[in-house]
Amino acid sequence: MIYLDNAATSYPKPESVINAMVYAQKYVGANAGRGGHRMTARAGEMVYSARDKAGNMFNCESERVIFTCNCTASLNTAIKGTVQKGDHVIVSCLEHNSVLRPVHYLAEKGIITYSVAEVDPLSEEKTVRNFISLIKNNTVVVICTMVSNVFGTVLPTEKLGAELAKRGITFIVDAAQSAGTYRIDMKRMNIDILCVPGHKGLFGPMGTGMVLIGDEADVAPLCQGGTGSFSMSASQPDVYPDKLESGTVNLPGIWGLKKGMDYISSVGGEEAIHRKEAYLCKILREDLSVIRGVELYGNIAGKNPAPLVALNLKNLHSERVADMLNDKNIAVRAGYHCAYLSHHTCGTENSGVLRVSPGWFNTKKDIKNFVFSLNKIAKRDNL
Amino acid sequence: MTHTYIKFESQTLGEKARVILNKHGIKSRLKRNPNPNHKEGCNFALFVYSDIWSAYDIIMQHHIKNLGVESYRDRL
Repeated sequence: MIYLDNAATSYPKPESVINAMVYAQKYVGANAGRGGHRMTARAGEMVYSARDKAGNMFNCESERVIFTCNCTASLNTAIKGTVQKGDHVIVSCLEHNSVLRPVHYLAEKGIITYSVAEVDPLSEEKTVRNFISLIKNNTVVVICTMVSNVFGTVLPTEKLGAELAKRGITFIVDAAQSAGTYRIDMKRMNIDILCVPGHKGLFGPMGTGMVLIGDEADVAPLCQGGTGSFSMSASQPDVYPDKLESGTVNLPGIWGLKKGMDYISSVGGEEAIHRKEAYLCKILREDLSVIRGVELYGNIAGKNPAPLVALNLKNLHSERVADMLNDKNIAVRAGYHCAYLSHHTCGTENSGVLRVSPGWFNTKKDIKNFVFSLNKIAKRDNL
Repeated sequence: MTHTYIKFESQTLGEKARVILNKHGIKSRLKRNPNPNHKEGCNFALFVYSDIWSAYDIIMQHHIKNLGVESYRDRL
């Protein structure tokens, strides 16, 4: 199969990730922090080692790296642990449902109110101004994706972070499509809380994610329980990561994620990965632009366009095209990508879009095969 | 025999201290505290294989939250 759905989850995983998970499960089967014996101590060292790696990667204190089960869990933790009754929140018009739904849920319950900022893909300044213009006296949090999961639009995260820092507003960034592909420095970019999946750009296994909390931010726990520490107290510990990390952690997943992050370092870092994926997307866009009936979406004029291509074939629903490609053993994602606001913004409510997201392990030949197959579909349907 | 250690509420903070001390050439071992008090319950003890106060200074310089230096005597 030609796998071009890396924006959903990266595949394949590096061998080192798979080996690490097997090692953790086979040889370090103890519960980190829950006992005094050697195996649990080793498990604790491994979990800390992963925390330290993530802390260095995103410029965050290691104890403020919290492991979760995915980016949605990270975003729920960040959003619900930050807002209080009467607060106002701003999100962008390109948010995934993992941001929109928790925010909308809180609004439906009468806890918060929220506004949606328009993103201008052609002007970073205008996008920042759109956010700033929505700030009210009770605005406490801005939540913003760094890269749209549908169109690959790159949002002006750094510029927005600088403006929000001046105003003392907490900035939560959804790095679902950017972690591992773009260098993210929480301190330089004034990001208070960063939410990342482990299984996409970081090459970790599914069921892993992280929420990274900056020095000035504080997040109330969504979930309370055993932490292996101060167990004679009925109160949840107030120290990170225990404050937000109740229950047994996913050691094989976390150790696999650590090796995924190590893999990124070993191939030259996020820049090297972005360079290769962007190159594949450039070829893809060039080849697609000559196929009759192809409509391409997203702004590719920026310095670092995201490595995904959104398109449609004229008069064909994206799901139908994806199904025909599946018959040719090509995996892409179609439909609405859990981001309905994005489709309202770009006018693709009726057809959804076909999203092609090459990854580190794809080749130029994969792209050429995809284009060949899409061209055949387009010709067959006389577009 | 008296055992002296630096006490941490969280295993993560103890590990962070251990890794930083190691970078300073100071060997240590993080263990579950073998001498917890009944009010706190479980916590973590960093046993340092050299001068504990030098190690403690380094930990404080790195602003690693801890519960101070404690010791206990073997009953044997």
